[in-house]
Amino acid sequence: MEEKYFEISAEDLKKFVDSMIKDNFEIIAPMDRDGDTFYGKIGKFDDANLDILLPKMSYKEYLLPKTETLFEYSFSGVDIDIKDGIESVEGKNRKRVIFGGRPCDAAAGPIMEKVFNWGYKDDFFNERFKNLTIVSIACEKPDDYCFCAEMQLSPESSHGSDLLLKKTGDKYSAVVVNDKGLELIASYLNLFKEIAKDEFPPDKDWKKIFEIEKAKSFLDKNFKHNYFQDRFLSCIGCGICTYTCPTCHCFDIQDEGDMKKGKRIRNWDSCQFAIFTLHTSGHNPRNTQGDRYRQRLMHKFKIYSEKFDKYLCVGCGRCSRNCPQDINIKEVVKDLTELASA
Amino acid sequence: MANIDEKLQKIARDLLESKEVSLIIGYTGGSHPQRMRPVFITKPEDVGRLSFNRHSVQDLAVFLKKQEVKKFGRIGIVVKGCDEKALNVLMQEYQVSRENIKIIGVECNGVIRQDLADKGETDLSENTVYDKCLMCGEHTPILHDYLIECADPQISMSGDIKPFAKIEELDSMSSEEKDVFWEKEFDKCIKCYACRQACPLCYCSRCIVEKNVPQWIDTNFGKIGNAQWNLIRAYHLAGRCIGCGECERACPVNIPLMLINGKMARSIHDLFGYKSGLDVDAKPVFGVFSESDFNDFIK
Ligand code: SF4
Ligand code: SF4
Ligand code: SF4
Ligand code: SF4
Repeated sequence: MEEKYFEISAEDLKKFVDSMIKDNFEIIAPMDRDGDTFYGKIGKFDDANLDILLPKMSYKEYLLPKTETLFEYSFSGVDIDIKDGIESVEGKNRKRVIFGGRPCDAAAGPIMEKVFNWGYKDDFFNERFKNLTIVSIACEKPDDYCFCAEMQLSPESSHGSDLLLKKTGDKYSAVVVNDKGLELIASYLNLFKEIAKDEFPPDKDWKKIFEIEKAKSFLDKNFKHNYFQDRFLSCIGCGICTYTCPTCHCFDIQDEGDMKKGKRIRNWDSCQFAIFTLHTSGHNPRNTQGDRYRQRLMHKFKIYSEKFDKYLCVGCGRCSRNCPQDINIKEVVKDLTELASA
Repeated sequence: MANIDEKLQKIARDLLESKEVSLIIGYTGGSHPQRMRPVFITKPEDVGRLSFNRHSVQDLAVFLKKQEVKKFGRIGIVVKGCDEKALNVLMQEYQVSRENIKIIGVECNGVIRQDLADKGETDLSENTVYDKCLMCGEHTPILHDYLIECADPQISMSGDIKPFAKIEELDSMSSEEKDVFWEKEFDKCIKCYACRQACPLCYCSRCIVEKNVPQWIDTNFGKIGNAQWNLIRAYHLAGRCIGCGECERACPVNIPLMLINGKMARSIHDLFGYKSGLDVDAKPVFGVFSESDFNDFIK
C-alpha cells in the first residue's frame, strides 16, 4: 500500500484513543509508575504520559513475554494430555495497540521478526507481532544517550510503525504506513483529515557522531583485543542492558512440573549472565565480563548484520541510561569506530 | 572538590608507584555531569581520572567479588562509610583479607539519588539524598588506611522527612495487606538478578536460583517464582546486608527492596542486638550460637 497522510488535532487524538478504548481495544502506552515511566495498559488517554522521551523498559514483553507457556502436559494413568500454549496467546484479535512509543522501539519489531523466522518460524512471536498495531510518535528532542540516527534510523523514522505521528504545534501530522495502520483508523476517519504528501513535515537533518560500519570493521578484525577486558571491568553482569533492550531476545527453555502435570516454558535470558555459556564440565567459553560484553557488541554490530540486513540495535540508549555502572554503549561504539581508524 | 580529587590522585599515585597495590578502584566522571562511574586504574600516569563527589553513588566493594578483579591481588579501593561496611562483612566472612586491600576512605555527607541526578539535581539536601544517608551513622568510614575529609556540609534535617517511614506503615498492616503490597511489588520483577549482581555481599559463585538439581526456585516470572526469588535473597542477606542500597538502585523496575532490607536489619537488631558491618572482629550473627538467643528450639 502507498503511504497516506493525515492531520489530527491534539483534541481529536485524545478522542481517537478514548474511542478505541471504548471499542475494547487494549491500549499500551507510556504510563507513570514509581517515579518513572513504563509501558502499561491505559484506561483512558489521560493515563498516558506522552511528554517523556522513552519509558524505562521497552515494550518487547508484548512480543516476547518474560515467561510464556509453550505447552502443558498432564498424565492420567498411561494417557498423556498435551495442551499447546499457542492456544492461549493473548491479543490475537488485532485489538492490541502500542500507542505513543518511539521510532526506535517500533524499529525493533521487524529486527526481532527476522530472528524469529530464521529457519524455524516461531508461531508465538509471529501471532503476537501480527496482531499488534504500532502507533508511534516522532521524537522532537532526543537526549544524549540516543543514537538512532547513527543506527540508520532517525527520531522521525516510520520504520516498524503502522502509523507515525509528528507533533506540529497543537496538532499532529500522521503517516499511515501500511494496511494495518489504515485498518486501525478506518472506523475513526472522521477525526482525521487527509493531506497531501508534501504537506507532511519533512524529516530534519539529524547529525551523527560516528559511522556504525566502522565499528563493524573493528569487530571483524578484533575478537581478541584488550579493549574488551579493560573497558568492561566495571560491568557487574546484571543483565539490565539486555532486559531493557528492545532488540535483545535470548530466552531459556525450562520444564516446571511434577509427576502429574507440568509445563514447558520459556523465560527471558541474558548473554551477560556468567551461567549463560557455562558448560557442565565447568569450562566457560565466555569466562570474563569482558568476553560477555564483547559478545553483546559482536551480536549487535557484526553477527546480526551479517545474517540479516541492519543491526541488532536501534540506538534507543536504554542500556546506557539503566546501567548501574554507567556503561554507555554510545561511547563504547564510538570507541570502536575510533579504534578502527587508529 | 578539586582538593578532594587531588588528594585522591596523590594517594593513588603513591600506592601504584610504590607497588603497594596493582589496581585502584575509584570513581570518575560519567555520562553526564551528574553521573559518576567506576574506574580501574593500574598505571600511575592515569590517576588524573580519579574523582569523588556527591554523585559517587556506586558501592565499589561489589567489584571485589569479580574473579577478573581478584586477579590483581593487592587492591586500593575508594569507599564511602556505607561501602566500607561491606568490606567489613567481606572480611568477617573471609572473602577479602585486610592485608590485600588499601582502604581509601572518603568522608561523605550523602549522595544524591540517581533518578533525581539524571533529571539535573545537584543540591544536597534531605529531599535529594537516599534514605540511607539520612540515617547514616558512618559518615566517616570505620576502617581506612587513608581518609579524605568531606567537601559537603552536613545535611540539615527539618524533621518533616522520616527515612524508611514506609517500614512502619507496613508494620502496622495485617498479613493480608502486606501480602497484597508485596505481591504487587514482586509482580513487577523481571528476574534480571541485578539486585544480586549489584550487591557486594551476594558473592556465591553459584546462586541458589542457578541450582537446578533440584530446581530450588521456580524459573518462571509468575507469582510463585518471583516471590520465591525475592524472599530467598532477602533471607540470604539477613544479618549481612549493610544497607548500601545498591540492589534498589539497580532494580530496573523500581521494587522498593530497601524496605525489605531495612526491616530485616531492624529485626536482627531487635532480636540479637546485632548490626552488620560495624565490627570486623564480630562473629556473623548467623554464624554463632549464643545461649541468650531468644529461640530455645536448639537448646
Ligand atoms: S547493565 Fe551495565 S553492568 Fe549490567 S550487565 Fe549491562 S553493561 Fe554490565
Ligand atoms: S543495544 Fe542499547 S541502544 Fe541498542 S537497542 Fe538495545 S538498549 Fe537500545
Ligand atoms: S549512607 Fe552515609 S556514607 Fe553512605 S552515601 Fe549516605 S551519607 Fe554517605
Ligand atoms: S533487580 Fe529488581 S527486577 Fe531484577 S531480579 Fe532483582 S528485584 Fe527483580
